[in-house]
Amino acid sequence: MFIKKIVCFISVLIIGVSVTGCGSDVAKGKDSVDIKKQNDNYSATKEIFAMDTYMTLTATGKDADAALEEAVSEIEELDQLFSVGNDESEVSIVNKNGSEILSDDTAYLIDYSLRLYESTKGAFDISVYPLMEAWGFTTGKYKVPAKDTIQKLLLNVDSSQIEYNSAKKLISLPNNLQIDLGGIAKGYTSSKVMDIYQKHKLVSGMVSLGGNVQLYGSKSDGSKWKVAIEDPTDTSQYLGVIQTDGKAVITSGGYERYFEENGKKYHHILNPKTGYPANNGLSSVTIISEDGTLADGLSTSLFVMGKEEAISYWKEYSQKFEMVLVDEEGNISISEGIEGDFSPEKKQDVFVIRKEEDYEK
Amino acid sequence: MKNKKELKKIMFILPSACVAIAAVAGIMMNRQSFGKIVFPTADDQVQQEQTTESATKHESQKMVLTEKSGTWKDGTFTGSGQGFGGTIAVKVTIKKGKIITIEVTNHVGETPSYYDKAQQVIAKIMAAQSVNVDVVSGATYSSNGIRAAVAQALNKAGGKETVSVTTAKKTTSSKKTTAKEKKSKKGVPADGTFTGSATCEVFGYNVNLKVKFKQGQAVAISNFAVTNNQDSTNEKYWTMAYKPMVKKILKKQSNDVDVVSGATYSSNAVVDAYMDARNKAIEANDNTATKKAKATATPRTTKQPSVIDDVNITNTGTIQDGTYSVSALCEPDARKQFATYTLNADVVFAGQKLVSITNFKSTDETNKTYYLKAANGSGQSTGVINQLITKQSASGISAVSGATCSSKTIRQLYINALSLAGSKSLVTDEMEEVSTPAPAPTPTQSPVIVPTIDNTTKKAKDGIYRVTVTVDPDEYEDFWSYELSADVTFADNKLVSITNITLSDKTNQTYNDFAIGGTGKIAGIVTQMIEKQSNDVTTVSGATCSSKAYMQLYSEAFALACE
Repeated sequence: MFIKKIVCFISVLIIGVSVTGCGSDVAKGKDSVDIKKQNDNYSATKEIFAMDTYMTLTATGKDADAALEEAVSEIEELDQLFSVGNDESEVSIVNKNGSEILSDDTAYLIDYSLRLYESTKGAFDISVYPLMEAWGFTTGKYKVPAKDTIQKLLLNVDSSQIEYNSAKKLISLPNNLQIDLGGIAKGYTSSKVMDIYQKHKLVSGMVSLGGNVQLYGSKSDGSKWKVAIEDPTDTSQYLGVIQTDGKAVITSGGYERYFEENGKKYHHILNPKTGYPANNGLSSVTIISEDGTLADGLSTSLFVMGKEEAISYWKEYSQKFEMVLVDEEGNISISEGIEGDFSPEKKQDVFVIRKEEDYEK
Repeated sequence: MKNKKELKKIMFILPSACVAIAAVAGIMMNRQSFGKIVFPTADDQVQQEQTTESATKHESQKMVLTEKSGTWKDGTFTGSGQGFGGTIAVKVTIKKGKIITIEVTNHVGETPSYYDKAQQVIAKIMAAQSVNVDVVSGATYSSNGIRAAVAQALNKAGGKETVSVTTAKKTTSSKKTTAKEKKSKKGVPADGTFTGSATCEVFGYNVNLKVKFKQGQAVAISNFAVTNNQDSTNEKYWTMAYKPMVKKILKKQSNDVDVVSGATYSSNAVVDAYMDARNKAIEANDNTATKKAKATATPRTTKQPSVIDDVNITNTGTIQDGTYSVSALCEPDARKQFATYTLNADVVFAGQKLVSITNFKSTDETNKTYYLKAANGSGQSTGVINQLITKQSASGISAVSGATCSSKTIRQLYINALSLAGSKSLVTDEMEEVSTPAPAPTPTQSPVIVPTIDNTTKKAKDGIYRVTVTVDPDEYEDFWSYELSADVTFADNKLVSITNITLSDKTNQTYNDFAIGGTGKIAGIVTQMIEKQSNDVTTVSGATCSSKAYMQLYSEAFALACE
């Protein structure tokens, strides 16, 4: 009798454990990979749908499959934490309850966001979320909000009102202030994938998280990766190609998501100070940096800032990133750190921004 | 708890408690980022490695606790723990070794709304007879305070409880993984072509497309179709969204580019439809793996389509290339939902193979939607025309759901055209063993056969011939099939001109113009053909499919002209 109970207990335990998919090798449909082929030249790719977009991951190395499995799990977990579209994500809970003790990843990003808010003088602001909702960019039901709606919402677009205790990882938001980490989440995610690639000692690797690119090392033949930058006026064309390794290459531009009303175009990169789509003369900003989170955050911030401010910002932090700016006339400017690495698609002059030179008008 | 009855009760609860705990443990073990603060002092420097270690430790703690649960002395015990704003004090009553009441005697420091939420943790502790329960999301500090207080009380009763303070993330992962499974299945797509469809949630239209997979990678995306569209302004969006998406997915940049960095595109029906096709391809692979014993072929779509009268049809004799205008009756089935009508179409053979069925006309155009649906397919079902082209036989053609009668009629058109083309079709009612069965043709995604013009032995009659060809994308192009029609003029057995060109889909105009205009190095395709009086010419780079279409146009017109 007792033995029966033990057997029952053990079998239930085993079922319980296997039901949860403990360990990633539970039979889920085998990948038809020949294990014999796994040497340093072995390459594998995965495509997934996460963070509301299409992502591809490539890995080269003996451990490529394991690295990719882990990377995909990591992406899915981070999606659970950050997704504002998911009612039960940590960010949604913070928005609902106004305060929460954060998990490590979210805590890191909140801290980062607040520092970025300061250094960009408010151009980067995670509390812009209610404004995004008012414009319909979160649902697809686009509309131009009334002026006083925008004015009212702007009162709560202010990251300086966010209280954050980094020792306790305790965040506290005032009433009506809502956050969205969408502006840096993907950059952070790609950098975590790079950590995973490194952990698995890969030879080479690449991820594109919905257009946010990050590269692990150089290509397997030792040469630099060739990353094309989308042409904001025709996304099936390229503006130019940048050669790089071990960096994130992240682009922001209003051209990907916008709507038209009464003949006017309204894109989704709002200026947190005005409440309206940023209109400072740039049509696309690409940031190249080892720090994926930074590249992601700065790509929208510099877009909001406009060319002049972007250049001043770069001069201050030139150790941390390089950039490619495209203005509304199609003129391309690059920071001097990537001079020689960038080649435009069309025959045109590329303006090089140098640290020592003065660009004040 | 010394009596058998209690033991039995515990043993009864034990398995289910174990499953619950194992489930939670299993989920926890899978989580990488797990904010743990070891009670009572917050540890700031928790690293990833530590968290996984403590996760396993925690799991074993849970196991230990379960075994020990129920070893409490009877009586009432007090305990206190750190809540959000201060100390939470509780009184726990134990009777017959079980927690029967938990009373909170002080929670002054807790914000009322949080405290009210955290109360739920009391019910959980009672149910689990353990303090190791999930905290209430959004009231973490208060929940943990209550747990700690109860633990302290239980320890006074002889227990050995320890509480690890956790944040409420456990609930999220188990619930949402099912949704994610739906979005992108794990596995490798099987080789073959799969249809994907998705609905744009905001605007309500449906997107359908076909994806061809080879060795786990998408190599072609075609047959893009949108249905149920209420708003014409969507069309611009699709054209904008479709081509760049296809480029991104197929990664068919030139050799000069490894990856494209662009403004982040969010989900749209095109991507969803692609992922749908991909999921089906992965399913197909799973099906083949698990159903090896069965002889049936791997189903390409989740629904098994109905095959029109499983008849055995063989083609005998040779097919004479050309365009055949044929008609067939479409008769309703027993339900008599429509009146019999005649369907007419041009069936084109080239290289002894069916290449297209176009130019549909009927005696009752109220049936147009149905016969077009049958011809071109919809959502899950491949159109009859594509099936016929793939199979090069009228055998085993599946009816397009919702257009069964029309499907049969179109198949009949093919059979009729075959007879005209010289081939004889044997139609038998049973699956008889035929001595020399027709060889199974290799399924092609696009008609690559472009027979060369033989104007030494054949003579083209003077005249203007209007010909239509279907332009299908091959592996490297990213457009959806369309029809090219033109007037091909012959005089003195020579190709004189190709004029009056129309495209059924104007988005391909640029490519068409490229093919005609040529580049600096290569002359336009028509110019070349006229000069050479042959379609054995060089395709215009960047407009390969369009160039090939013209070559085919020429050969078909020539075939017509030679009759």
